[in-house]
Amino acid sequence: MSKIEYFFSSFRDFNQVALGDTIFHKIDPRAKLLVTIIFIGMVLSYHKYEVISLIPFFSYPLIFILGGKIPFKLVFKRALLVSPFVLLIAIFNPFLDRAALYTLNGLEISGGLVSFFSIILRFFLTISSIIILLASTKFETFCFSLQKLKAPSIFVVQLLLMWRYIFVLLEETARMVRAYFLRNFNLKKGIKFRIYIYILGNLLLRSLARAQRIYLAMLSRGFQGKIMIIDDQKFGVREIFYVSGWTLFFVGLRFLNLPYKMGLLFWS
Amino acid sequence: MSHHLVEVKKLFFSYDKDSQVLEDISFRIIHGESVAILGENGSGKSTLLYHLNGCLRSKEGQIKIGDYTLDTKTIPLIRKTIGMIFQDSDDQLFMPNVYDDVAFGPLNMGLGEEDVKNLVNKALQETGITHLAERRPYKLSGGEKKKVAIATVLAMSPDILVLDEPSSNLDPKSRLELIGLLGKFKHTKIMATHDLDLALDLCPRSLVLHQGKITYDGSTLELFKNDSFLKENHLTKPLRMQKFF
Repeated sequence: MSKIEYFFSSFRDFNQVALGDTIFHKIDPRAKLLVTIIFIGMVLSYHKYEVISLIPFFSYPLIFILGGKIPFKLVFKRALLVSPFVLLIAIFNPFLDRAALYTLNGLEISGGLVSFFSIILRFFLTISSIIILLASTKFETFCFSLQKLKAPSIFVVQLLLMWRYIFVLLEETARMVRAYFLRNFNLKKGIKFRIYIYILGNLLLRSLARAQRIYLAMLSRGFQGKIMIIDDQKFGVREIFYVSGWTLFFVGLRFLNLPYKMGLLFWS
Repeated sequence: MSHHLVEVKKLFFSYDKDSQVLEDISFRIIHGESVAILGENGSGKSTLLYHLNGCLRSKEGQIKIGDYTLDTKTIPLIRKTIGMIFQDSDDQLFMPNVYDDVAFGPLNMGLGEEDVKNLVNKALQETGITHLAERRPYKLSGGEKKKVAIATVLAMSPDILVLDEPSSNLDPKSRLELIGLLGKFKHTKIMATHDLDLALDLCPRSLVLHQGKITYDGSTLELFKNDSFLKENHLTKPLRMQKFF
């Protein structure tokens, strides 16, 4: 299986998880989106040197992963995929902020090192909350929720079409790569950079031609700039309880400072 | 007033200055007719079909669908009358699932939710794909995709069906099912095809396009009896009329 085909199949796996039937899958995506925003807001509201107080917030993604039967490996692997970008941002902190913040058995811990760990924790919290939101929501349902939340139609249409045709494009790419390997006898070296450019160029031209045909097909069925569906999702009592329950939980974690209270309990 | 009439008069079209894709095209198709448009690759079949619902526009010539002459104002009305089925079903099925795709046209027509649901269910039943309603289009087989593409158009209750290569990429079983399905419809049908057996099965009348011009307009059966004309126009007899041994 080529790397592209592997990526294609893992993409489908992710898509498959969203078709689950748990309570977390059934909640209106607007409620889940709202909870995610509140969660991220709470996590980001801490001071840059805060580390321990962030740990109880892992209970949210954990409850969601267990309740929504989302494979833990899937969340972790997706988070790792984005982690280099965050590492690149955080890695300089220990060098730039060297002032000692704590002393532990004579060992000085700099503010930069603490803020480095704080950024990493915040990253895993926020990114996992987004991954579980997407893994428990059909992408199209998520897009239509954005439309209901008054996101610009053009943005929603772009997202929907990207989602629909990403599989077609990936299949086309996989076919081209396969065709390359069938006529290339030096398999160890992989695809040459020059060939990648040809493949990408070809893919671009094919995508443009396809986009033109899709647009004609949409026009033929009366498209006027906004995609409409028969909407069965409702923001009801269940969603109100969901949002208010989680909000209370997050506010509690934010202001009760559980690790500090537990520390007092054990040390006093 | 009949919306089923299709009249094209002196239509010319070119994508660029160097080559004329359609040249002096004129024909008239009346209520309930099934007409095949035949011709070699690049003869202008698909280009002609795209003109019928205003996907392509020409400065020269006139197209009338029923009482409407095709222009900017009448295009929305004409698109309700003409249901176009594209060659590659993946181009036509752009929504995330089958049900939403079939509902796309009726919702754009401004119909109420209940009416849309009724039309969608009717179209799914007519094409025999009710069981596919929740499926994702990219996971369907070629034959299933074609049936869904037809359902997306039927849900808009068109008077005229325009089909571009309806049997392309279909296995023999799916092709036969498609012929059976199309044969059931009482709509006026216009189909561009290389499948000469399908043309013989479904279309008593054929137009032959050769290098952008209409070189034949008449009985499909008579066309296939004329060997020298078929050869001149890069066509052959349908398989069932050929003698191999």
